[in-house]
Amino acid sequence: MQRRDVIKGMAMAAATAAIGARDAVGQPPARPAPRTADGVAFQKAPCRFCGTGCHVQVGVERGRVVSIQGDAMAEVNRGLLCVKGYHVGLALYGTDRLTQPLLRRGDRHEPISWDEAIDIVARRIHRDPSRFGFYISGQSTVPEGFAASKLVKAGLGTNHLEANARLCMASAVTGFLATYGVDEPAGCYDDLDQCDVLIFWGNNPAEMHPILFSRVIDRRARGEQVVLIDIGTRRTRSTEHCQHYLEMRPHGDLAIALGVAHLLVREGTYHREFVEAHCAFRALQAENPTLQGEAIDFEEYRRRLEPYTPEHVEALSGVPAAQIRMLAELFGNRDLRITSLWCMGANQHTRGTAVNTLIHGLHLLSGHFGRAGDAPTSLTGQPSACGTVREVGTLCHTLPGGRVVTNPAHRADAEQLWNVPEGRIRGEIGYHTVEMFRRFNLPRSEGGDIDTIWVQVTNPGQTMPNQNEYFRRARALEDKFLIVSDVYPTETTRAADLILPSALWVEKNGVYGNSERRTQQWFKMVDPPGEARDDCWQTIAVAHRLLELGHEGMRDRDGRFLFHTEDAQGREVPIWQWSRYYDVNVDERLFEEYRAFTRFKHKDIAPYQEYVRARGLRWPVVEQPDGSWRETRFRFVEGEDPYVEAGKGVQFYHSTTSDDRAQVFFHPYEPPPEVPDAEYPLWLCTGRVLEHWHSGSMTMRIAPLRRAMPQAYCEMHRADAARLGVANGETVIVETRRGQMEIPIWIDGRGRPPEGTVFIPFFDERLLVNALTLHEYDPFSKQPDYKKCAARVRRRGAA
Amino acid sequence: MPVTGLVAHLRGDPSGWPETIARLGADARVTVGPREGGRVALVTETTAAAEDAALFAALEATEGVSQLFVVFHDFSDVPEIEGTVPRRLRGRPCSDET
Ligand code: SF4
Repeated sequence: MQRRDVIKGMAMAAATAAIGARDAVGQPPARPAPRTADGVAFQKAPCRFCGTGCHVQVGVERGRVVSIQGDAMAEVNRGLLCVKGYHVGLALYGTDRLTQPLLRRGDRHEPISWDEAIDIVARRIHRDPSRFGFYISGQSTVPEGFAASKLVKAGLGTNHLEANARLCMASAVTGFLATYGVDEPAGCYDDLDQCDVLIFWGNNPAEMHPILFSRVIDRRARGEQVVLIDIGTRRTRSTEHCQHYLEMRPHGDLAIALGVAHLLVREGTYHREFVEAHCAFRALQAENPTLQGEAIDFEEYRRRLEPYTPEHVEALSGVPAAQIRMLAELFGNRDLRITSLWCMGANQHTRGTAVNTLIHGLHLLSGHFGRAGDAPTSLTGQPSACGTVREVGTLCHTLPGGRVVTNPAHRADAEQLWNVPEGRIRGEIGYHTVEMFRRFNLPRSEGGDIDTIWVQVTNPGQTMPNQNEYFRRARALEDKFLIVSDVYPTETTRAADLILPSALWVEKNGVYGNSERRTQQWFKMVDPPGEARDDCWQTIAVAHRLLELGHEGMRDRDGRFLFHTEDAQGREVPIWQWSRYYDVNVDERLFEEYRAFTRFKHKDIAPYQEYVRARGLRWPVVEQPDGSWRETRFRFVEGEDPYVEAGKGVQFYHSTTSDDRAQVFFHPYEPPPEVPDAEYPLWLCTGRVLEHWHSGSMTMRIAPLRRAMPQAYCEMHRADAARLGVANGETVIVETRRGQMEIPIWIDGRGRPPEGTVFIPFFDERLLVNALTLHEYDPFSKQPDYKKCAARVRRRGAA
Repeated sequence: MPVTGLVAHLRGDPSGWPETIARLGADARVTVGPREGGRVALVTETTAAAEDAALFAALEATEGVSQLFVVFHDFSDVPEIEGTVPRRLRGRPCSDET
């Protein structure tokens, strides 16, 4: 048999397994040995791209990834992959991989040794750690995030650690914290298999989470009735599959949620028993509002909702009153199971916390909570925004496992677990992302007290809002130093003073945590190119160099190195030396250290080796009397969540009011901070596309994906184009108060914005839409709003 | 020479599925495998990555197909991995670069 016939046989076997995988997903084998076919060894890994967290089988031959297979044993994707996952192996093999450390000398980047590079980073930090910011990512692995947190918080004694997930899901975090007192969804992807109604709140899963979307579309193909409702500001591929499309004005989601709550209360169709047993009501204080707000009673809640009649909501949101009534009728029907999904539309919002809490509030008020298919669920865009950023706690106010730096008991607990001296962890919140970059882009004399930023695994040169002010100014400033660890040249590396080449995905060990609380592990399968090295090693090597420079924070209570690691014989392993880094499994050591942090907020994870066997496990994962480990599908639900007491049914055991109740918030409608006017008459919305992942630094290097979507564009309504005299494909100038760009127009394109709105995706580094976007952010989550600002479009050559 | 395993989700009335499957199999580069409910297994064999992507797009656009997913992709002998992001921009969006 020819090798090619073997490969075709494997392809057909995979496809055949996948068509029947709906019912065939079972427990993975207890001992997952790498499978071999015709010299190709297969091992599991989560997909490198989105937060869905599909599993792939990665085929390696002679030290190179040569094939990718959807993992039929994985519950998340049941063997299927989207067009990005299908090409994930090619992401490793762009011809311009960064392969050696590069230092800026004048206008050039010149190669230097790793020893020099690590020394430069350490010295920049050592001269004043309080002026150093570490900016990591929702693509950093769990051990990488944990090491970064330990370096900054337990070592340097500062809190200027942030992650790019601030830009994509911080409002979801504040929404969960305000409502339940603990972060992350109670439900999981199983809800998609059980719901009768699925509502997208500013979400386009057909492009952004296609494998999840396929679960629902597949149910329909099998004859099941599922009502899909799209609430958005532009028609997308998801809209095509929906029975109802509610086209709202920007910020209309606030009004819609208030309108539905108004009708549930006014018509008495809310779930009285559920509310009386499990809910309390809150609103923001008039002065100095806090995330937790203040208690109000049900009557006050009812009174505040009174103005939000369907007609008033129609006036605010542009959504017909009849559609508001339709939504309220669905929520009022307890025979139905309703799942809400949201992502950037609700999160990248200057009232992101408000709209998140309002969506939770609808589910609580109507009792659509706690049954399979009844769930308010936020999705994430990055593969480990949940696992690394939210759970490990790599933000400027957080500590691992749900602790916060402002709480003395949490600090003491973390100091104990990290074995560092009392008082090492500072109680003042560090700078959040926008503030960190604002200060980096100001001279010291004007308050620019951040002078060194180390960026790992992300691309703020393309993704920070209002680029000209919040990223590009620093280049012209004295004594600002940008360090960037990455795998390819990007807009960020081009601005860098020092570039560190990183290992990517299966070139290193890793652990991710996806959108449904599922922790997923993989092993290194191939070597990184040239001198590229693991980000986690880079962090540890810098920590050790700081120790050599005399930074006492790099020692624990016993005087040992902060990342002290021993082999089985109790001898120290110098993991700061690259040649010794893989002598032990550093990921496993850090993961086990992190594990001790996770029980505090009932986010328990199992031992590392359990994840080696499984295709991920959803926390809390709790040991059973027989020694096995059980994951949790639905939190706060008796019989599912091990922390719910017998007889409680539903128990919100992290309630902010310490009475097992979730908080139903009232937030008033508020308009966006910048709205179209005579000068800038259009709304500008930004977002993603199916083929490219975020800033496109990987997917734009994959030829089939780039061919499928070669460049960014500006979607425009035909009527606006006619009024401006613009033809399809014509390059125009799009301007806001912050910047401008030239970009071709696409009329009747993939997405269909309404008249008065234009949409530009951000994946294309040659067309930087974030030079135009707004840096305004939600007051609680500090997440900026990329979804709406005022813009104008003019023809080239026109005044 | 990419080899790709695919699952096509069929839309609409099951009575129309045989016709859709026949349309999918009409291309000599496509081998049609078993069907389970509204899902059918396919394998495609092409000579170049660009052809593979074009065939994927054509199959996805086939009348009666609601979604197309990849379950297996072998690119062990694909020579044309292009590394860098080209600086050249075309005027018209979303057309093939070549
Ligand atoms: S849906 Fe996301 S995780 Fe799944 S294959 Fe596609 S990009 Fe990867």
